[in-house]
Amino acid sequence: MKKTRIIALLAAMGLAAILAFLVVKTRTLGFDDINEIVATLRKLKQIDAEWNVHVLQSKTGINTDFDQVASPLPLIASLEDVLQDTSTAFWHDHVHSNASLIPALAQYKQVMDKKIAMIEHFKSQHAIVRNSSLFLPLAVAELADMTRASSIGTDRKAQIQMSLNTLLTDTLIYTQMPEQRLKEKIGREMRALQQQSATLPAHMHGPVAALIPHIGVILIKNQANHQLLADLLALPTAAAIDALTEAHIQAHAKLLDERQEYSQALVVYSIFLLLLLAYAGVRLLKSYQVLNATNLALKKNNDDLLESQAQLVQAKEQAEAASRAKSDFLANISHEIRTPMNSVIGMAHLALKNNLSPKQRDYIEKILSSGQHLLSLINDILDFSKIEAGKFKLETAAFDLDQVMHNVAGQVEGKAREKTLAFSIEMEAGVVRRLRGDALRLTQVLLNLSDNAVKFTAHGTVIVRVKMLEDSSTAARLRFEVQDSGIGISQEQIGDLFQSFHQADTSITREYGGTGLGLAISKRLVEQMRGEIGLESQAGKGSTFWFTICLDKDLTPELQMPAFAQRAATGSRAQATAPQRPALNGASILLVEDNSFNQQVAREFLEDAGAKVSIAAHGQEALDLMRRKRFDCVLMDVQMPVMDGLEATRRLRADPVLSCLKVIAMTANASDEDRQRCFAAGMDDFIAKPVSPEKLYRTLAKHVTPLQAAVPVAAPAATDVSPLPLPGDPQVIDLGVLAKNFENNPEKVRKFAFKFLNTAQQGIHEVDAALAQEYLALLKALGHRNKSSAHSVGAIGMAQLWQTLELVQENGELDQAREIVRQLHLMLAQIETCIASSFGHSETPMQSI
Amino acid sequence: MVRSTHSNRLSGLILIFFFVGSAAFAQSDEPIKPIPVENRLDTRKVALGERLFHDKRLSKDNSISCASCHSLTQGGADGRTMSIGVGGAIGATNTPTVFNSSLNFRQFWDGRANSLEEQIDGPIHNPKEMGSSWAEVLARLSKDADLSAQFREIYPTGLQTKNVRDALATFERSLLTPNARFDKYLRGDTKALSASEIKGYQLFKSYGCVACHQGVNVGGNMFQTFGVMADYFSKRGNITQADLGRYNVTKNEADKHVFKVPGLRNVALTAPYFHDGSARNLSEAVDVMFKYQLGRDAPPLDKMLIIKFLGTLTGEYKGQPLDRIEKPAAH
Repeated sequence: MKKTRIIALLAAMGLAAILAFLVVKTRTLGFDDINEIVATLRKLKQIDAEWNVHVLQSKTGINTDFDQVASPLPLIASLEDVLQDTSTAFWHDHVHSNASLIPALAQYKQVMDKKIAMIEHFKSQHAIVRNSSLFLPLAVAELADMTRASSIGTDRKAQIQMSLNTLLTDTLIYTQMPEQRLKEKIGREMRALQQQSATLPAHMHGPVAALIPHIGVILIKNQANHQLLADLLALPTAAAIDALTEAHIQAHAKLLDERQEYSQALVVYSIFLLLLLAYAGVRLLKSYQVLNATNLALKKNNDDLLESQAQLVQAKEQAEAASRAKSDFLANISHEIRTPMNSVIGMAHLALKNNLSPKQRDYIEKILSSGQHLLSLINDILDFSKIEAGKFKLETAAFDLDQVMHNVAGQVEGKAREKTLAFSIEMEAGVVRRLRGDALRLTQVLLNLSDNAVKFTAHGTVIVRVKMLEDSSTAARLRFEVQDSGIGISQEQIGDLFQSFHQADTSITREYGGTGLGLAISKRLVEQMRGEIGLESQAGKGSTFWFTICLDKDLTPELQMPAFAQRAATGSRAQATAPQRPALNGASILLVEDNSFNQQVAREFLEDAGAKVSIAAHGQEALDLMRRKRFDCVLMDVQMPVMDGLEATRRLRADPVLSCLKVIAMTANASDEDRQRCFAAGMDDFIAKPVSPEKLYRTLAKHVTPLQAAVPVAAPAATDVSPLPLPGDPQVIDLGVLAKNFENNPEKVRKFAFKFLNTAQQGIHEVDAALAQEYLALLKALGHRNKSSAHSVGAIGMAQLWQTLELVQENGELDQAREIVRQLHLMLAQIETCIASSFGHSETPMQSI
Repeated sequence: MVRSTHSNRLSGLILIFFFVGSAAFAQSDEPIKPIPVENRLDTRKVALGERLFHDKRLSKDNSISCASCHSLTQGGADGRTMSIGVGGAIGATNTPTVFNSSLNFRQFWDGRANSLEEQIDGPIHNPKEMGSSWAEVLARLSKDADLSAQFREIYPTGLQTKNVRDALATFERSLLTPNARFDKYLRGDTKALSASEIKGYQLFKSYGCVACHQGVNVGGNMFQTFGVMADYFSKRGNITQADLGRYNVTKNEADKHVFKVPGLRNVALTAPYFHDGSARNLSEAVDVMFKYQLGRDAPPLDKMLIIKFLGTLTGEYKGQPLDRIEKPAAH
């Protein structure tokens, strides 16, 4: 393709070059030039003729000066220049035609130069001859006078005068008739005069001698000049000019002939080109028709393609819509199933508390276990469908790895204990604890693997290990291992293990239950956390599931961390130095929170750090307070009665006086969406509930500048800072959470434990009242309000119940609410027992354990 | 372009041709013709040429300008037997006057240059004169922004050898000295000359001086042998290359000791005389001419009258009589 194009291009260029050559060869052959040359030569010839006339006029004495004879010189030179230049320009391209010109030009030059030289010679000689001719008669007359006046004899006088006269006459005759005889006679007369002059007086010798050269001039130069004039007039200058003219004309004619030939060639070539163009035109027309047809076909093809593309797009959209609908349906169904399942399980629990026959008990227990199995299955499906639908997003928040491991241990230990398995967590030295990521999902993966390990291990141990793989300034790569001494998995089975709906052996499902989604979900989660998951196992010798994840480090300043946090991090049992409170000294903080327990907890934390705390129960109250008093910062709950935190923040931002106030959201709704809603409303930062003092201080430190420098505060009364050995079942109440938040201060832990109990009791009273009135909306609000306080004290089971209540559909489902409330009562009873067993009654001080 | 220049020059020359022709008819009885008063030249070129004429950068060591030898206040020559060139070099011939040089049919004593333009190359390259070259001259002149600009204004091609020649030659063509008393006499003002001066003119003609010294420039339109009636050079002795005259150009035996007949305009101001500068004054020059060129003698009175006549050939330059011209301060 490319080659043929190049050849075609070269061919076209070749054709064009030939055309250009012919056109150049046939272009108008400077008729102006040849005309100018001929005109110049004609002028030259005329000047040459006139020149002859001037020379003759000088000779005859008509011209008394040589200006006219000299004047043609520059004129001739100038004409020769014109000739030279025009000729050179004109003949430049026609050297071969120039051949006859060169000799003609040389001939002319030679003749003309000769003529110029001869004329110069003539002028000089003419002047001399003229003067001598004029002088001779005068000189003779003077000599005759001198002779007459001399003292010589009369005869001598007459003889000399006669000689002088004869000489003069003969010389003058010679100037007119230059004959050799006369010349010889004059020669004789001159010699005779010279001889005679010897007898003359001395003063006459000089004039006689002076006479002789003049006669010589007349005799020789006069004659020579005659001849010179004849010769120069006879010079063939006119003939040379004519020859030159003829040579030019002939050369031009020759060129014209040549051009004629080229003209003919040009005509023939032009016809050829025209034919070629016509042929090309026809071909082009044909190929255009073909092209047109092809174009039409292509266009049709294109249309077809576009159509099928549109169909494909439509099909894709349909497929996607179908997939979305499926996912939505799955998620909805799962959610719908979960709610009744909670009831089933709850009822089963309640039923088991009654006196039952062994057979009934067996049935109920089977209902319970099946229900629990079904619920976990549904949860897995829900998670998985979310992941598959791409709706699943990891949260990113600062968390404490110790806390995560603690939670895992709390949930697995019980199950392990039931099977008399030894369960332990081993943290390698140097593992970074303060990290950023999705703690909940990490916990989920760890629980999944740990639960599996416990499930598939009959005897022995389950160990969870945490190792540090890489540690950079901003990120860490961690490896988690869950090792068991269970049945193990063969090499063949490992391959498919992390696939969806897969278990090592289908019989396992029957024996151990489970959806087979757990590992698949874990794999997806780990991958989302930029990690890998794997398994090292030998059938019968136990398995080690491991995964690695990359997490950013939490780089917010650890400055002025409360002492308990430092101790938790180091695990040191040594007496800590006087703890440094966070720099909130004198800061004025408005806490907007509808839950009184949460109010208390947060107030306690803040006051511990030296802040002055004001409290508002809802947004409107907060705004009123703010207009009366200046605050450094507002901690704003989001969901509140009367006016929620978002609306309060929007109004605050619109108020010119308050618009610059720092507002930090403090909410149990901690999804990315919730965060965005908060920031959109104008909040500056975000704290997820449950609130830990560490979290609170760290966030506040970013926004609040303390009025005074931090001052060391006396260590709390309890000097024993070892963890309080408190019951730690999160399904009831994990008092360790309270202990941690209040630095193992038994007074505070006790105080807040009872305070929580009060709050919870009151909350349940209110719930009972709402239930009696079948006021579902209120029930939901109560669920929300109490949820976070339960979280705060580690009463996770109760918190989940409150949350379930919050999520109850408003349009009916009263039975469901009633069941939840019943469970809340049961849960409250368990918590009361637990707190009482730990701290005694509310009025009695805490017993040392 | 080339052609138009030629045709301009050609028509100019034809004009002169006719002028000379018509003048011949009007005063055919007199062998000497007055210098035309009118002089049509490009004044910008004349001004530029005048500037260059006085520019010492034309010489090798920036010591000599054209005016150094052709002083316009000294009759267009320098009053020296032989002129002094760069580094004190002594020239080979006496400096002829630059006044009316455009009326000469050829330039230099031996007529080796056919035009003024051609003549300029001579002194530029002559090691005894300016000792320079066009390349050097152009290199020096091109450093002068003002001069370069002046060239660009007049010549499309700017500062170039050809244009330097043209400007200088144009200036030299402006160096005519019309309105001599003798010219006024020729034009009919009989009172312009005294009786003895008129007598001197008659003698100038009758003794035959006018055989060579004729035409507008009273000479300058032919060659003549120095020593026609007697051998001037063997008498003078110490013959030099320059004494060979025209022979040096043509290598023709007949041209030995042949020189261009000098014009006698302003001759009273241009002593010393002859190509060898041997005649210190007009009296000596006239003596030599009588002896070697006319081959006769004349009474001292006649010679004196002739010299008186020669004094009437002094013309005017820029409206000032040449013998009273003031030395311009700028030069």
